[in-house]
Amino acid sequence: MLVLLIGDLHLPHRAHNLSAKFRKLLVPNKMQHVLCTGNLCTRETFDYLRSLSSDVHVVRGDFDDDSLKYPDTKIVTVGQFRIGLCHGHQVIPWGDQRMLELLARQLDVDVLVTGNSYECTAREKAGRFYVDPGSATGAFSVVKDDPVVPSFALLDVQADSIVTYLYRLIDDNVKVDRVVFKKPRI
Amino acid sequence: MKKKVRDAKKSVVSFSEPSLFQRKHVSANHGLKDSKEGFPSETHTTIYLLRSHKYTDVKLSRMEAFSKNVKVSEKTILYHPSVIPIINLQFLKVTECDRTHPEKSEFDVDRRVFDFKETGFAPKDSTSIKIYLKSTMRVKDYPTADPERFSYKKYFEYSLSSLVIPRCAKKVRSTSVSRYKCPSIDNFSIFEHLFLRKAEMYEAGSGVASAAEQEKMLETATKVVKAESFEMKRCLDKGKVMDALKHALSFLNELRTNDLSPKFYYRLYMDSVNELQHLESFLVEDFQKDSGKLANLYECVQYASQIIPRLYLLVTMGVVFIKCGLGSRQELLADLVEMCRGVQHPLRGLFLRNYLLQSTRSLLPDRPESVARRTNGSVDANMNGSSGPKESLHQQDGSVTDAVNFVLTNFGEMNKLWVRMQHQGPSREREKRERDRLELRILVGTNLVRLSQLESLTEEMYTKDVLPSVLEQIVSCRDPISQEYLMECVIQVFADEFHLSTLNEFLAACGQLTSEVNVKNVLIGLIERLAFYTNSIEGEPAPEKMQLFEIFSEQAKELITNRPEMPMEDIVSLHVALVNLAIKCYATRTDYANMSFGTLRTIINEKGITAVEAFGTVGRELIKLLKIPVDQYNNVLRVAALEEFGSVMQILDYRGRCVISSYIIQNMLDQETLITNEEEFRTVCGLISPLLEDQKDQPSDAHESEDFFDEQHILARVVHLLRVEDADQQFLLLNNARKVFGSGGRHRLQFTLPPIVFELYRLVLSYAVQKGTDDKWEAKVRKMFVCAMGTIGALVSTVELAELPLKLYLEGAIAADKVPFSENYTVVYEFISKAMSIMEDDVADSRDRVRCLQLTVGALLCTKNFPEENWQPLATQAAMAASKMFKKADQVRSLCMVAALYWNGCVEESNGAPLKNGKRVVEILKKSAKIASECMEPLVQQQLFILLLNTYIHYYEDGCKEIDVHNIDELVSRTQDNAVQLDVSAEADLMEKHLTEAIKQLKIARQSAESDAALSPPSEIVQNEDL
Repeated sequence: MLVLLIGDLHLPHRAHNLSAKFRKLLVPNKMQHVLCTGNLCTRETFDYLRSLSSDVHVVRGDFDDDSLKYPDTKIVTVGQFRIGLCHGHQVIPWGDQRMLELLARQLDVDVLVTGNSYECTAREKAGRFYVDPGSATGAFSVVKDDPVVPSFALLDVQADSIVTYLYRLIDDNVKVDRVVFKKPRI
Repeated sequence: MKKKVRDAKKSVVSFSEPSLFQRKHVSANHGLKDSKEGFPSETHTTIYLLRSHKYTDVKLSRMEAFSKNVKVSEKTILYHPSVIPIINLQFLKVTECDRTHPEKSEFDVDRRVFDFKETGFAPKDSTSIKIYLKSTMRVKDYPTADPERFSYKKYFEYSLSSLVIPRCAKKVRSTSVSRYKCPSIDNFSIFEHLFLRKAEMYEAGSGVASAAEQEKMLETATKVVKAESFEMKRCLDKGKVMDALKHALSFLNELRTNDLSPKFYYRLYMDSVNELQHLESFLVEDFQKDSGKLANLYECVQYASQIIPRLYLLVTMGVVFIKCGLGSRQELLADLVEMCRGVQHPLRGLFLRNYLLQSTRSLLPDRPESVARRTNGSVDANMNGSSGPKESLHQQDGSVTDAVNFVLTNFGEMNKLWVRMQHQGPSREREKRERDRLELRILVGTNLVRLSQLESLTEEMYTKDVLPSVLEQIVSCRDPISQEYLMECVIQVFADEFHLSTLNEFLAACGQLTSEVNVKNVLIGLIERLAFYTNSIEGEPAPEKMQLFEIFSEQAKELITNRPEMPMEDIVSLHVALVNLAIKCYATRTDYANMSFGTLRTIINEKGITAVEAFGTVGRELIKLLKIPVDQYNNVLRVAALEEFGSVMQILDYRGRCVISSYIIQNMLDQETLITNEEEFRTVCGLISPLLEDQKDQPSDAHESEDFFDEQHILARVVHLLRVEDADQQFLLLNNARKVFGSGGRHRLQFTLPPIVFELYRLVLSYAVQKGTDDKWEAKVRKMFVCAMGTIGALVSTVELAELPLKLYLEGAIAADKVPFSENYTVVYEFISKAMSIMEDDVADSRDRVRCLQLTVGALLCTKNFPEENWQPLATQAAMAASKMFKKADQVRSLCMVAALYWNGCVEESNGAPLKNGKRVVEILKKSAKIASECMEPLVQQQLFILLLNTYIHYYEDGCKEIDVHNIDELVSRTQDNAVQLDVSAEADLMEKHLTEAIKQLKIARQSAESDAALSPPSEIVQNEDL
């Protein structure tokens, strides 16, 4: 089962478009679920995600309009895995690993998906998996020193493991990294 | 019902019968008995007698006897005129009955009608309809009759079921209208309505039998074709060719029908032609076996009496002869095409000629004149020698000229037949006729297709003979349907090179077409075809291309001036084709496209048309027109080079202009068209101005529509396309954009300003690296921040937003903190204090406040270069804001969050290391613990306790020595006590889980703290406390 992780698009605030290379990769009906870490900023972007899959989950990013009523956190169960979703600006200090771990414990999830770091990362800690899909549009961020690399992540959820593909657009070429997370046996 | 009839018969029998009549009648009755076979004259006599006789009763009883007899042969009697007198008699009797026995009459009428039905007069007959109608009339005439009790409905149902014969529909309708004007019979109205409608429906489709009827007729005809063709094949197998031809004639006879519509006739035609093909191939094969067999069959078939079957057979024979090489192909073809003139009925003639064309399609001579002449000569030479039948199989005379003449003649005749169809029959059936004609057009068009397939047809022949003759035929027929279709045919079937060389002739013919013809379609068809052609071949000499556009442009202009009644949308779509041609074929000549736009604008201006509705017929065409250069150039700047583009855009209404503007922007975004200088920016703004500021014709509530949101969102993205390498230039450009967008009014500002702010931050961060390269670096950086701050200020003051500017200020603070200009902390301070004052003053909702504080703390934690003295007031302010939250729970949560400031925060003096002010952290946590214990709701309190617990553990884990582990233990036990008291619920369970998790975590933290303590002395803590 394929789950798309995407977020921090910041259209139209910080970027003009999702890159054509990514648009070509993101084809409708390939992914069963879309988990968005927020900062869609417009309904139009949400509609775009809806065109990719009928099952779209969005949490509120710091620049999402309050009227859209996205929740702060959300838990989605895919196969054997509980996946927690949160934008991450609520975790103070921003990007603090231990606070994220605390959040993962509290949500009791196998996978915690957060954004707000503008960097595509995936790591495992104490039997839990932490993914940040980064910004799909490469949206500018004041917290980052280097230019933001456009990125998103794809989870291939299998029976007892998740294969994560990290897509990064570097010099207009798509680079893919693969990280495997195996569910620890209890 | 049967019983009723029987009873009724008894009553009739009881009437007395005068002897005179009886005597006279014996002979007549005798005649009746013989009437099974046809209608002997006696029957008529009888009927006459019956009519003249006074004694209706007697007449009736006789008549009953009569009808009993005729029942046996009801099929024959059905259409016989004698039926009507009988029925009339019946009514006569009934009317009499009314007079004498009113109580009986009602029953009697009923009986008669049923009787009538029983006798087997099927209702699908015009006579029966008349009878039914009469019965309803009669009943109504009778004054005492109770309408409720009379079975009107029944009669009507009969009439309705009889309505399949449309001929009668009119009659039924007129009768019912005249009958039921009387308002006294209300309960009739509904039924009448239904009845009338049905009658009208049938009348509309009258003239020719209905589809169901046609189906039936077709079925009968097909059966005949099948049976006869079977016989034909049998005869062929037996070698009886003449008998086979006879059978062929009899199935071809079916094609003489007049009753089938084109669709059904086509099916019949296909069946028949299939059988003819069988005959044809059999004869050809037979000839190869025995060449003497065909002999004079070509003449033979001409003795057939009916023209249609005769000609079909003649064509078949002609084909056989050509295939076998008997006689001259040239002459045979000429003969056949002439002979077919014999059929002048449009439908039958068209199909016959279609058969001629189809069956000769592989036989037409298709070689150049010169070659033909040479081979003919040699054949003649051979003929003088030993010419056997085998050789003559290959002897084919004639050249492509003959083929052209043959098809052209056929085409001319077919077109005449087709056009004549329009003028036959009543004018009210015109629509139906036109429908039929459209179904048949392909038959006529096939001729042109056939011509285009001739391989030896040269451009010269086409120019000199074919096209002039075709055009003459088209122009002279003066029939719009024919003209429009055939012109399009010519465009589609012949080669592009041919069109290019005959362009002027063709266009001249276009001018001569009747005014009903939509010449624009013809012209557009040609333009599109040639545009595609010239575009597909490369290296085409430019002058030829150039001419093309000018010719068409001229032609279009002429057309428009000659036809002042031409609808606007047609004029526009004509220009769509022209602009397409100009842009696709003359990529370098923007003046062509511009010219087309210009002429169109002049025309529209002359007509005084303004504010064209975006989704009307004209508007849609206009939008299509305007989208062409956008799609083709894929570069907004090139589009802008068309000076007239903008003026054509102005013709549209507000919505339409917005649609085009966003279309342009979408194209810019997709193509990533970067705007690199002010000039370009101004040009682009000129094109998308409807989105930039309020328009005169914009509806007052425009800014509330979804379209408006979408358009502004898309417009906002344009800001990110402003991209220059040079920082000064970029800043100028952004400033410019700020000014332009600034005039958009408060509804637009909220969309367009935030991207500008972000672009400024991006600029300033990238400019930060260039420190030292420019003397005015400091000043410029400051200016950028001032500009950003001012832009955000506009969002606060003009748009009256709160949260969005607050977020933007915070982002600014982080950005400013990163740029190493002197005393940058003052700018950071300014940004943060502005954000905080917005929170204080403008954010009322407590949940929003918590969120804003969250962001502020997050941003504060990102700053690293504050001097301690500036940092403290901000941190204190944050802590104050936290403890001033409206709800206790919010206070606790915010305080737990603010604690991070004192632990994780950095100041200039700490050199990037976190403050780790454990004392303050503990103070804050203690304070929040106190507030939490004041909370009255057990569930919420439990939540807060767990939060506190987690926070304590977090700092404890992180090495905060000021935290007394006993305090945590105390909190744990309190929380555990609380947990016991909670009501059972899902939330309580969840909390229990969280608590267990926290205790587990505490255990781990304790263990690692103890092992840490064993490893190193607590010297760091002392150091931190000093801060």
